[in-house]
Amino acid sequence: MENLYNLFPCRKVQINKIHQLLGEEFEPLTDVIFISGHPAVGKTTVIQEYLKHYRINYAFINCVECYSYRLLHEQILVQLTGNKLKCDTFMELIHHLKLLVSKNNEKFIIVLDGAEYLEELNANYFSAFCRLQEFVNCTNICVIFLSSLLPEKFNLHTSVITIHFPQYSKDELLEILKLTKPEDCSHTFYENYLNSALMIFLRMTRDLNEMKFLVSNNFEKYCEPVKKGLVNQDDVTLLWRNILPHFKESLKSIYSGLSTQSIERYLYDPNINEVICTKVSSVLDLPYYAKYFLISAYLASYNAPKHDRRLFMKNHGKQRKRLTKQQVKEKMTLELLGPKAFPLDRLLAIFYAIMEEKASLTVNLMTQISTLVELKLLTRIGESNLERPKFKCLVGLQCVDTVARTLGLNIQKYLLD
Amino acid sequence: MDYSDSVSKGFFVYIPKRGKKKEQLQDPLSEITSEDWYRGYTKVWQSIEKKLNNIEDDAMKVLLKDLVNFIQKANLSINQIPTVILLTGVNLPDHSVLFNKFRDKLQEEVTPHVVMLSSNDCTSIKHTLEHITCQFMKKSEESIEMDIDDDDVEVSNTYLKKSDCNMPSLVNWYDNFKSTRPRLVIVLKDFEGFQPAVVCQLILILSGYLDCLPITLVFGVATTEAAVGESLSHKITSRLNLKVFQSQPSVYFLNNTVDKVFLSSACPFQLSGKLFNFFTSIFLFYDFSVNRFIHGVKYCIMDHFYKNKSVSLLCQKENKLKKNVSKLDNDCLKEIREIPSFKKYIEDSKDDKLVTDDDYTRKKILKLLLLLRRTLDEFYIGLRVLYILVKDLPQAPFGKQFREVYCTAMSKDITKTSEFKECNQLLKFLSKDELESKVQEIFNILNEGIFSEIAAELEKLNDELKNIGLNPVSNMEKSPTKIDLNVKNRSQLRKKLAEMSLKGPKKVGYEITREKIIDFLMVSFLPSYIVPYTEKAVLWELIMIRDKDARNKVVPRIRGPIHTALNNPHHYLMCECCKLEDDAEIVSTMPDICIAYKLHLEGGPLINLYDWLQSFSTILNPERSLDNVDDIDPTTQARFTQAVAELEFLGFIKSSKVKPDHVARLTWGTNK
Repeated sequence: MENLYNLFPCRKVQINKIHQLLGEEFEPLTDVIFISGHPAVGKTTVIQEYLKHYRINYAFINCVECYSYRLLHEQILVQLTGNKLKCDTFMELIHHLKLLVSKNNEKFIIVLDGAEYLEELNANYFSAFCRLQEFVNCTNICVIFLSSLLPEKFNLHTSVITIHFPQYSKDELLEILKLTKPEDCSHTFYENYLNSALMIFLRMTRDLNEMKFLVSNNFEKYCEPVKKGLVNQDDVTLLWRNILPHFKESLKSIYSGLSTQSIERYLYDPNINEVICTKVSSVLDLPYYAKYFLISAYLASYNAPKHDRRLFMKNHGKQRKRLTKQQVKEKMTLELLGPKAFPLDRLLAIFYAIMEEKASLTVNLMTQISTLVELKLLTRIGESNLERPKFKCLVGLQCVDTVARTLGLNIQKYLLD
Repeated sequence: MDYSDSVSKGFFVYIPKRGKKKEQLQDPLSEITSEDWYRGYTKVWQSIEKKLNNIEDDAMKVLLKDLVNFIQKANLSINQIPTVILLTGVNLPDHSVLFNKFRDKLQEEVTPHVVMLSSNDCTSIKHTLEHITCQFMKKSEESIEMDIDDDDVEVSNTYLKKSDCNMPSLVNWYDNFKSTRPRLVIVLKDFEGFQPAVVCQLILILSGYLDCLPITLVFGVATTEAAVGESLSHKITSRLNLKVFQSQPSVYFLNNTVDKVFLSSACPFQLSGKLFNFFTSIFLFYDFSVNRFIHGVKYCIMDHFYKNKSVSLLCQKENKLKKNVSKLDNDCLKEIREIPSFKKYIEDSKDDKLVTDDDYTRKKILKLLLLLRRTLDEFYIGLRVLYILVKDLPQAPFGKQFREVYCTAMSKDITKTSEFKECNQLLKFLSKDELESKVQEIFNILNEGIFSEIAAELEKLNDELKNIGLNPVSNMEKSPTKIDLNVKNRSQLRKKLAEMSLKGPKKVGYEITREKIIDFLMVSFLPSYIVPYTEKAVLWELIMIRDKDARNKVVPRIRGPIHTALNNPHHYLMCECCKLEDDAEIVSTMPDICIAYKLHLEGGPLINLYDWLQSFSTILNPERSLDNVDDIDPTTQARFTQAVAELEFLGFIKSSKVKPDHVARLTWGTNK
């Protein structure tokens, strides 16, 4: 038990609870345990380590993988019996389980991780597993559901025992992260580092895995001034000042998952080889006509067709005064309402209106549109409508604006505002 | 029950063995492949292809090395899947080349276990996992086969049961490699095409197996790295250790290919300025695809070789010319004598032997061709020199790329353009460092080529340039002398100042040398070489590809051909009966659909079916009296109905809901 406590420093309560439910020998098991909690709070590892530690027979199934019944059933049986049995239906599974429990008196646990995916397989499976004890007619078998959703979201009987794994608090995180301490540095130094790191990162994420990654990534930079001998090891404030810019840099990347330092743009070195083109741009690089198509798609999506005449024709007559009053309302709605569908004809009409030179309508030109759809910059609405295909633009103003700028086109000119 | 007998009768399918059948089949192309033009063409094309491959290898080398390095060193200890985001650019047709090279490189250096997934195969998580496991496990069974075609995957499915293709069996399979622990690389070729839900599930599943399978993911992203962030949630991306790599922009590949393969005198054929311009604009405007560019050129070469027999013999490298010239037969010689530039040459030289004596003509042709090659060499060297001079001038009057300079030079005499003069002027403002590096570059080019005399002369000037730095010219040391302004009134002063400004400050030593060099290059050296060789050389038609039809064949039009076919069926059918004198004419012998189509062109946006039928029947039977319009031959009516139905099928008309007896026209104007 002590081992487990040491492995999982802040999970003592939960481990005790699990032990109370599963640890007593010769006591009937409860039918279902539901363990909930956010991702990366130790649900899976705690339960697996516990079961391994006490050498209880168990099957651990990640429900995401079980896209077929057979996979689910056979994996349970393989892990519990050690034999590969063919098992297609739930009834067969129960039959095999019955055989299994009748032979020996040990405990059998089935852990279903990601229980919410079970519903995707079959809506009834969740309730069926809830009553597994009843079906198998034996109290030596128990099902443990693990899920990041709350138990209320499931079709669950109220009597089911639920164990909640709460999110780690700051102190707890500190405690856990201390375990990752590299060998060659002192306790206080590392603790100071963790303190400053958590102060910044805690606002953005509580995911332990991510935190570990951030902490280990930045530690080297934290140590740098000490190694160089510039800063005393105990001078927390100076070290803090040194590391802060690096922290902020990694904060930016948390949600995209891309750390900015890791972006290794492959630039051609002019000294090594002959350079013919040196420009490396990070903006969307599209062929000339595709750019125009993207811009026209954006314009078609965010302008109402009734304004087309005004926006794209040279002699559109005088602008009525009344329009100015309506525009205030319009501006609020146009961007907020999101893109609207437009037919192909309108796209082509706007395309030709904003393009200065003539491009003949060839097959190649039409494939540009499907390329954009393939790249998920446009989407096609209603696959069945061959005669009048409709599209929607999926990119935002900022992206289109940068694309337009590369063409020297002012997109604001064509937008109502 | 008597029927039950039938149960025992069954159909038994005998699948014929594949190998035998293949041998029996004759190559349907054998007739073509044995022809002369085809042999000549393949020779030329193979040499080009070889060069292309080398260039692709070079261009991708660095990127591939980086990628392989990352995959080799990726840290598996942290609970995240090492993932490469490979920004490949939007040139979708070119991706397969890149990915195939990537796979080969990985298999060579890192691990034999690489799986390539394309979004078409992975519509659900089930299919995706089946594909992954199947490709992994199949590989080890059949030892390592370098090329996986689609056929192979299907064949392998017969060995491996589909139901066995799942993660647990993959883990079992991997146990065989416990000792070496090779990495497993999964490549998602077109990330945008995958459904986000499938990718999410895949990542969740794979991250569950990370402790027993060392998996690395590679996403091929065509747009920007934001695409990954947009389609995957934070929960998913926190399980990935992402790293972005960017391949060269596709324009770079184009420039590279074009400069090193096509625009050089070593290339047996040449592209005319217009055609070349056309292909590059397709590239820049439509698809960014080097593959397509190459295929377009390939088509044109094939066409060029196919049309003239003599081309296949003479459009070759220099060392083969001598042998090939002797092979020219009478037909070829006749063909060559018809070539405009050669005709003109005969006329100008008044050499009758060229028309009568075949052997003499052959010798002459060889001589002329060698001369042409020499002209080409000179032309390209001249052009390169010019390119070095002008490529980084402010505002780049000739463009920044060599191909742009080439296009201008091929279309007209470049030395007579206003841009050339502008460059000449701009060059006279060059700083010493710039000039020195340029001269050095030019010197290198000239030394390689055939211009040893000019190189020597340039070297002299170059030495002069270098020496300036060492011995500063004396007049630099002179302090500005006082100017004697002996004037009495303001107008005199003005006059004197104007005079002095005209004289200008005396030229410094460097400036004099600079002018000498620039004048030498731009005025005396270049102009004689960089004029289009089509104007002075003979027989250039043989090696120059300038197909005007290529435009329609490489970039097919949509509506034009259909309109032509319906408007003037003679154009395609080549029948005597439908010959038209006037475009608007309608002849009764034309196919029904053409008649209906031409009649419908005359109508407005809504066409009355009855009127249409009337005019249709009038055309078929011109003698029909207009008095009893009501009686229409049922055959005519049936033919008309069919024609209308066909037009509707082609999308020209549509039944109208407003007026039941009318149809609406869906096209406006004619697009020719």
